[in-house]
Amino acid sequence: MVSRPFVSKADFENVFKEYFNPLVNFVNKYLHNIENSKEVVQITLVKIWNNREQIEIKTSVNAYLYQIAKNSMIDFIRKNKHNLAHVELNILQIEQLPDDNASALDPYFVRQAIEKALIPLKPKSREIFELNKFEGLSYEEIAEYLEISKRSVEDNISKVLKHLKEELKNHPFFFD
Amino acid sequence: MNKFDSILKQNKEIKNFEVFDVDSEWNSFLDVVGESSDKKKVENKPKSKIKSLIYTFSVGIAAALILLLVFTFALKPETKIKETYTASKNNDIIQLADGSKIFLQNGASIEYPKILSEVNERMIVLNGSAKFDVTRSILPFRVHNNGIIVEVLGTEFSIIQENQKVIVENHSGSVQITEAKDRNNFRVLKQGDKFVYENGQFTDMNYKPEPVVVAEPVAEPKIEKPKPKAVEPKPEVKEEVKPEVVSGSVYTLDSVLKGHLVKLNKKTIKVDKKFKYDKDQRVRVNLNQSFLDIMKSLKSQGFIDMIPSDCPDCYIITAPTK
Repeated sequence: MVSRPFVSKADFENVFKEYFNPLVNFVNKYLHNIENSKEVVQITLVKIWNNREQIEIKTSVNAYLYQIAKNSMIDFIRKNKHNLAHVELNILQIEQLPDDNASALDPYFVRQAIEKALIPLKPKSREIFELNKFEGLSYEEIAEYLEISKRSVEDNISKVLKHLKEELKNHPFFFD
Repeated sequence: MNKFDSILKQNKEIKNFEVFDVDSEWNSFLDVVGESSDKKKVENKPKSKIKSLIYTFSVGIAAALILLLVFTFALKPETKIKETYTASKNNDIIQLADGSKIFLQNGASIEYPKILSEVNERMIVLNGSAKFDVTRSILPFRVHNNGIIVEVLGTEFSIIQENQKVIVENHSGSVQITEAKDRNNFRVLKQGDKFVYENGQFTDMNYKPEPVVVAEPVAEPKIEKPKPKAVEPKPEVKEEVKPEVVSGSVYTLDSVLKGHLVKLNKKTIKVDKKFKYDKDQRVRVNLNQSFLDIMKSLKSQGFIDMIPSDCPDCYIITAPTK
């Protein structure tokens, strides 16, 4: 089935707000520069904006945005290859990414959901959780780094996990 | 919630997830594309009004607070999130902001979110019958209808309401239907499944036994979907080779095998580890067919072979036999 999800400004705005952060972080995985990544995403979204009334999607918004972002990333690296020597090697890796991968952005949506669910928590608890789950630090390392007891680290992580499981229990990415 | 822990582990690959304020990014974007930001204009008006009132009449903070209250009430109708609609004809289409489509039957009425950026789920309240084509999104899609909740991620399904009875038919993807009063009473529908809900009971319409023609002991009803021809308890996959005209769309073999068949049938369909195939091999299949028919179609095209596995209705996809 063909859909035209960008026709109205309101529809486009919804897509923009939902996909902006996942797209920037997806692109940043390859460009390793958040400002450049934002620029690539902006180029991607401007392309879509300029053709929004004609764009017909046969796959999904997810897959479509991923594909346009991938192509914009390749163009961006080629145009700026003198300034982006450190990422030029990645262009082969990016070119080899499949064209149709509807789930490429899923981990970024998951992370966005987790980040959103972490907002109400105390900054200290969030920091401890992120150090352990995303930075890979052990409880001992966190305790040493933050100068707190290992027990306190364990308690904080346990509380955050409980909160997240409650917050995300009905989230589509987290239930079978 | 082991899945939760594994998702967290996978997310370790994403270093330093940056979160930007999407509202300000949106306003910057509008400047880039040469569109004036309506929001900015709306925001500026009350500010200037308040300021002019303060400076002109020197009323002070109390007056400003009163004006703010007035503006709060004045802006309320604009933030209307839910919309209601009643269909006056068959296949009346409602499209959500994310592109999801709802095809309402005549007389069906729904309440749906108009703006998705301000909600945590895509909650639809349906009274009547409708077909849904749901766009994949991080927001759960839930339909409340006559005592049940149908919950999906991205799929196509139909709800037919007949008095106290609700029939849910899943056309693609997977769907969970839950009794609203008892959340432990639920069923997960795979592609092609059709369930009836009535008086707190879910009944699988695909379980209906085939008309018995042969006077042989009838095979016991199986837990999974009934086989089209249930004469032998465990049929070998020696189906007739039909010179079929292959219809459908073109996909890569890998996406059909791993991204569709195995992904949606983790417990029943496996790919033989020794089967090395060209992942970019283009195949033409109709993904709206049953999983068995898709495998048969791939087999008849010479891309795969399949052998029954240990459990009923379980298959291992193997290299095609020459």
